[in-house]
Amino acid sequence: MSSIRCPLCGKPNPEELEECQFCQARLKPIMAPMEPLVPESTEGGGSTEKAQDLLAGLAAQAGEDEEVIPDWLADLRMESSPDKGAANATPESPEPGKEEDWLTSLRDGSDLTAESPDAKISVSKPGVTGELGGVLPEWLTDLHEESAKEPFQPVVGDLTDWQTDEAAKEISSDLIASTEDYKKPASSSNADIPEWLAKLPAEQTSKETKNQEAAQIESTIPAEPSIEESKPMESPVLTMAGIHDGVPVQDGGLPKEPTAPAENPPESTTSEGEETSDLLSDLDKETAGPSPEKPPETLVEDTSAEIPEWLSSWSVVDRSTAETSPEPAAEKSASPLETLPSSSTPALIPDDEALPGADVDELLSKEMPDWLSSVGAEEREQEKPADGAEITLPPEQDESLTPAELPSWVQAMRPLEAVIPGVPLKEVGEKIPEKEGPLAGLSGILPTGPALDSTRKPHPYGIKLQVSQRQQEGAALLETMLASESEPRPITAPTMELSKRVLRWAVAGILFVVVGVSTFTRIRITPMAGSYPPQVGAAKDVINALSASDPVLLVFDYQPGLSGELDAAAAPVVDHLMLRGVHLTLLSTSPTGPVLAERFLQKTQSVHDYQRGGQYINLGYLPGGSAGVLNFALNPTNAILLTVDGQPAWKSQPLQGVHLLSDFAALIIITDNAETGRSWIEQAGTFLRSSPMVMVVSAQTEPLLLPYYESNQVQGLVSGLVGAAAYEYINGRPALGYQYWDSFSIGLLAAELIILVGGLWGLRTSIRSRRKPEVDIG
Amino acid sequence: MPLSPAFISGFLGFILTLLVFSYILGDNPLFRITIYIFVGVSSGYVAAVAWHQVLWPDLFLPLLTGSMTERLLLLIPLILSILLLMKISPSLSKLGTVPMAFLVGIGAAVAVGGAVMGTIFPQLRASINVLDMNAAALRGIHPVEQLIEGSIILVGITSTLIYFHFGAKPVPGGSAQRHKIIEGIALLGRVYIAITFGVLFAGVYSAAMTALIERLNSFLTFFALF
Repeated sequence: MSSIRCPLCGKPNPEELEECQFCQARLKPIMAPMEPLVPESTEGGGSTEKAQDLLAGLAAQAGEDEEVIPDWLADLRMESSPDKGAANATPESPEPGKEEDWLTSLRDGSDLTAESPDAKISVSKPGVTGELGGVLPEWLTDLHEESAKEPFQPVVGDLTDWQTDEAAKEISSDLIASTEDYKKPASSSNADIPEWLAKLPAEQTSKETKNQEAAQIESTIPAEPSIEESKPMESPVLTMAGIHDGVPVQDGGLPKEPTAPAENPPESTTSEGEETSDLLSDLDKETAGPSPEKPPETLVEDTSAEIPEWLSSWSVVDRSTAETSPEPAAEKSASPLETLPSSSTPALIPDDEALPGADVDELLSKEMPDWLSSVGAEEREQEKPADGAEITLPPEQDESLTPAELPSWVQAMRPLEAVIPGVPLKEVGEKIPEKEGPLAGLSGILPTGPALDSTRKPHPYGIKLQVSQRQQEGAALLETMLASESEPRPITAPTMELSKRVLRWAVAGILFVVVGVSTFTRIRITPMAGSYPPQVGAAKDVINALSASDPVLLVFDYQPGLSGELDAAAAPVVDHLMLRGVHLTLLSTSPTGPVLAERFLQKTQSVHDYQRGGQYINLGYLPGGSAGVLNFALNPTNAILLTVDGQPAWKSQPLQGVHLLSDFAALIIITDNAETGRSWIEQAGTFLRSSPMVMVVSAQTEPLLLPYYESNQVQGLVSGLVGAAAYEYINGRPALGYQYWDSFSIGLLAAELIILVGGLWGLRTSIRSRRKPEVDIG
Repeated sequence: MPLSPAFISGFLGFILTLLVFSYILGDNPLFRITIYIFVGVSSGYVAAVAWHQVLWPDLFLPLLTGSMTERLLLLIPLILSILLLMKISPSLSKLGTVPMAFLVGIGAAVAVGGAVMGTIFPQLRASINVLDMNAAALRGIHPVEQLIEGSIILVGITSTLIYFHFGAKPVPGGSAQRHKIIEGIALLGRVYIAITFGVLFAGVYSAAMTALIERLNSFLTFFALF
């Protein structure tokens, strides 16, 4: 039973284990071997022409350039491990050959460095499987770039670019130049080292620890590096791949590479020759670039197409890491970063343990630790060239970097387009890398100006007021009115005042003359009316229905100013009541009512010899308005306690047996106000029951109270002098109505004539005013 | 000629009447003096009436001579009256809000209740029965006369109510116009309203004419004393 040595702790582990039983380090790579890519290389027959051509070309070139390549390779080996150069030159390859030696030496050189974290810095790591997202040294990247500049030659067709002398010479010269830059004593072929190879040691040798690292590499290179020792650390490799991609590996630039091999049947074994073939295939693919002629083995194309980005970035990372790590190699080996180069080193991939695609996906889907994320950010910053040249990251990397790598404060600074749904992300526009600030080197993080302008351009609102024609006319009219208000106006003289005053004097004179003459002369020129209103007759009927000693409530609710009219209107009614011999109870809701009542009786009814307290009683003033009326209608005995004389009201002779409003035989209301009369109707009407209500009102109130008579709420209505005259006429007892009748009639006739003359005058004036414009026009 | 009360009252009445008639010449101090005298005398008389006929017999006298129950009950109107007097002072006028609210509330409740039960329902019933021939026969009115009178009243009520219907639709000119039918009926209602105002004016003029006659007649009575 074979054992696998842990690449981390170096302890042997059973072959079937995937992780070290001591340190839980990954023993087996998670990536499947590259047998499917170049399966023929191991099987030795039935392979594709491409792989064969590749290997054959490499072998031929190696054989032809034996004089050149072995020299610098040997120098390189001697520089790195002089005592183990022979061992490195003989790798365990199932197909030994010169070309394999040459390639294996390259890989071994990287393997040697892979054993030590520090060594990886100085020596590139070519043996990284492309599907694992490993890294290529910069010199290989430069090689790719240089080869890309050359006329493209498809890999599938032939790999003659590697086999031609020019290419071989170029590669060899570059390698020699690079080794010379290492400033090793053993590098004697400075002229042969190419320029691109010289860059790598030049950068690396700038560190003070360069020689020490080289010495340590030599010390750590085993005599025959076992396959187990070169087993890569899978997790760091994947992690770095994820870092460079910015997203989980499945979504990154290498999503299909781990799964593709799983679909193919795993190969029995994986040799270094195979790895070398893979590397070369990848390199060829890179050099092929956008080859229009793609071979049927698309996996090879996919892998080669995506390698350059992460490989080139990884090479930069290696340099930067080496530059920024002054620690000794022994201490650096403990840091997580130091595992990266070793992990990128091709490890032993058991031929019978190709990881299935599901396992690979599971591993690739693991989240990266924070420290790795931060390292990735630092690496990007370090990738920025010193000369300020912009680094153009591949689009897939930018897209993957944008959502996952932004710190919170940067996210807070994101424009609205990034968070507002509905705004297409494409509006972010071109992914211009940032040149300054903490986001330097990152592209697509912040939106570009043009995108902002195109998406967030404010809606134009015109400053012109949107008004209709009608509104404009109204505004203009208002403006005109306001302007006219401020304009001074001439004060017009009251030219018509004198005529109005004269007219007033004329009307007054006419009335005075007519009424005065009629009053002073006492002439009788107008007979009494033969007919009378029905409401007057109804009032007479009500009073006629009363019997002697019946209590009658007589309410005086009028003002002194209208006492002349109401005295004349109420005189015949009260006279009729006294003729009937009823007991009168005087009441008033007006403060002046009680004295007016006394005056009325004294002035008009003195002939009846009614005595206060005997035939009539004056309850005085009833306060409260409508509420007082209602209170009196509900309970008269509590509403009024004393008479105007201060005597108990309800113990007097006129009020014997009266406790309720309905106990009164009739309710006679004398008022000049329609509101007062309506209040008595509304508040006391329902409490009268069968007792009648008669109203003596002013002529100006009759139109408003007549409907109550029509609705039979008031049983009789006498209004004004006309009603009084009619009542006197009906009752056959002339009084003030008859006395005033001639003057009243002549005064009404004069008023009618004045109104008629005035109306005619106004009509004439109107006609003249209408004719005047017509004459002017004619 | 002795200075009898009739003479003095007749003389004062004659002088004051002439001063009021001086308003024919326009607003003058004589007329104003007469008005001031009238207002002053009326206010004094009202105050005397209020004291002698309301406050003393209905409030203070029971407080002095009444039982304890009457006194306690009378404290409520007394306090309310005092609070109402606070309306005189602007700073204390808020204290008079309570009795004022009490008065307004009671007055509104009484007025609304009386209007509904004493005016609206009876007038509605009367308007409905305006064409009741049986009722007219009972009142001794000829049916034809009642029919004509009822029709006039019905048309007057309807047209007057429609006149106060101001619902209209906007017209392109920017103004609003009622429907033509409503406009025609409203015109008839306006005629009814004009007649009503004419009747009211006639009543006012009749009342004023009667007052004038009474005053001129008082002159004659006064002159008869000599």
